[in-house]
Amino acid sequence: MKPPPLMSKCKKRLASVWLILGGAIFLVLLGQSLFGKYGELTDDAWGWFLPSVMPTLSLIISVMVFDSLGDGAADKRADGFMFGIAFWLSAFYLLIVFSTILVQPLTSIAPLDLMRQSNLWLGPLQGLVAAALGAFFMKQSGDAPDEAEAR
Amino acid sequence: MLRNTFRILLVVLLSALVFALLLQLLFKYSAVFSGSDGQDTLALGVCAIISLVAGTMIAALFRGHSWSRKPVLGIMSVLALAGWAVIQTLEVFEPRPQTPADIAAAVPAPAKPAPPVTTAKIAAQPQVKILPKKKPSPPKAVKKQTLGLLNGANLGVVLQGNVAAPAKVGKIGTATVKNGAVVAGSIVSGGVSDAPKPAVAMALSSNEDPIFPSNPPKASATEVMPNAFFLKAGQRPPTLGQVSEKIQKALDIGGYTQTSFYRFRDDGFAFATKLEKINEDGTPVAEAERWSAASLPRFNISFTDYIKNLFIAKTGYYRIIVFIISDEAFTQSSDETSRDEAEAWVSDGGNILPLDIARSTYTEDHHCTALVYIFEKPEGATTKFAGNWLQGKTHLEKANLWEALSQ
Repeated sequence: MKPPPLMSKCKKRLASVWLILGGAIFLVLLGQSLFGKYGELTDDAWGWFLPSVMPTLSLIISVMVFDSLGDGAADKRADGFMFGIAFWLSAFYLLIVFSTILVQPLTSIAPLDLMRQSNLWLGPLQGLVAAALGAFFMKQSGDAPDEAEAR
Repeated sequence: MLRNTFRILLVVLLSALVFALLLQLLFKYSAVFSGSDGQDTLALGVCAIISLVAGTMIAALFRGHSWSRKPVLGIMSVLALAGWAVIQTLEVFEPRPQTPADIAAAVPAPAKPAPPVTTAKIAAQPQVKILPKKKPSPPKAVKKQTLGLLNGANLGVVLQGNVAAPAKVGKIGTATVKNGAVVAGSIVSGGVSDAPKPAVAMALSSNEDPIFPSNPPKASATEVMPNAFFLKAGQRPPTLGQVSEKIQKALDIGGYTQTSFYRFRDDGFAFATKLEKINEDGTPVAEAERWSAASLPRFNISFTDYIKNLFIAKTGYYRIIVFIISDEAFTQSSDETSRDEAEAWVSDGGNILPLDIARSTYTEDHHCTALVYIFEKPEGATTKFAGNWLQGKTHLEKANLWEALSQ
C-alpha cells in the first residue's frame, strides 16, 4: 500500500499551483492595467483580484516561510485524501478566477460587471477552498517517514 | 488537543483584530491612503494581514510554538480592547460619503404631477441654486415652473446644469422663473455632477409643437448640404414638407426608421435620427447590433482580435444626426450634450411636421444642415461626448445618406 504523502511535499505542490496560476492572473491583470483596459476603474479590478487570491496565497506562503525557519524537526505525513481535495479545489477555483478575465473579450458584459457577477460563484467557492486548506493543514497522519523516504 | 486549538484560534482572531485596528489608525492619519479609495485599500490590507497572522498561527500550532501560550493571549486581549476603545473615542469608523443614489433617495418625490405649462424661451443663463431637501419660498411676482426630462409625460421647463449643490441635469423638480430667467431651482431627484455648468433652459409645451434649441448644443461634426439637393433647375421650389419627405426617403435607404420633428426658430424644422452604433470609420455596425446600446457576444473573433480585446478596452461609438432646415443662420452653443439628452431628441419630438411649416416653400435662403453628434463609451466607463475625427460629409456618406440625398 502506498504510504501517505509527506506534508512538506504537499505544501510545496499547493504553493506551486497557487503561485503559478495566481501569478499568471496577476501578470494578465498587470498587462491590462498598463494598457488601460480598465481606464479609471483599475482600482476596482485589483480590488476584485486581490481578495480573491491574496488571502489564501498569503496563508500558504507564510506557512512555507515558517516551515523554512523551523527547527528542522522530522517531516510528518499528510492526509492524502484531504490533500487531494485541497489541491484540486484550489486548481479549479483559480481556473474559474482566471476564466473570468479570459472570457470577458468574448462576452458583451463590461469587465468590471463580469467581475462583480463572478463574486456570486467565487465567494462560495473560495469558502470551500479555504475550508479544504484548513482541514488539510489541521489533519495529518502524524507518522514520521522512514529514513529511506526522508532521504 | 481541542483546548489547545481553541486557544490558538483565539490568538489568531485577537492578533488579527489588533492589526486591523492599528491599520485603521494608520490609514486614518496617514496621507498615503487619504483618498476616497482608502477604505477599500484598508479592507485589502486588513485581509492580507489577517491571512498572514492566521498562517503564522497555524504554523505555530504545528510547531507547538510559545506564541500560542497564555501570556501572549493576555497581551493580545488587552491590546485589542485598548485599540477598540481608542477607535471608538476617535470615531475612526466614519460613514462613507453619500453616493448619488443616497442623495436621490434622501430627497422626497414630487407629490403631484406637473401642470401643463406654456411655451417660453428662457434666454438668460442664470445660476441655479439647487436645494435638494428644502424648497425655497418664491417671492411675489415670481413664476414657478416644473422641471422635467424631455421624455417625461409632464413636460415643463427642461433645465440643464447646476451650480451650487450636487445635482445633475434635467431631473424632476421645480424652478423659480423671474422675468424669463431661472432664478432658483429645486431638484428633487438627481445625481452628482463633477463640474458645474451654466444653466441652459429649453421650453417645451404640452399643447404646442416641441421646439429644438435655437442654438443647438455643440456638434461633433457639421455639414451644410448643397441647395442643389433640394432645388432643381427648371422645377418649382419644393415645400418644406417635400424636403422633409426627401430626407425621410434617404433615411429609409440608410436604414433609419425612427425620427421625430421639432420646430426650429420661427419657420424652420429639425429632426434627429435614432442613436446608432457605428464603427470608427463612420460606417454603421451590423444591423443586429446597430440599434442596441449593448454589445452582443462575439465568439468568432480572430486570435489577434481576442488578444487585443483582452488587453485594450473596447470603445463603442454612437451617432445621432440632427437635420435642421431653416432660412436663418444659427450658431451652436458651447455646451456639450449628453447621450441621454440626445437620445431623447428622437422620442420627444412630434410624429409629423407641423402643417404651417410643411406648407411653406423651400427657398434659396433655406439651408439643410446636418449636425452629427458622436458619443464614445470606453469599456467599463461612462458614455461621453466625443470630438470629431471625421468630416460631417464623411459621416453622411458612410451612413448612405449623402448619395440618396443628392439624387
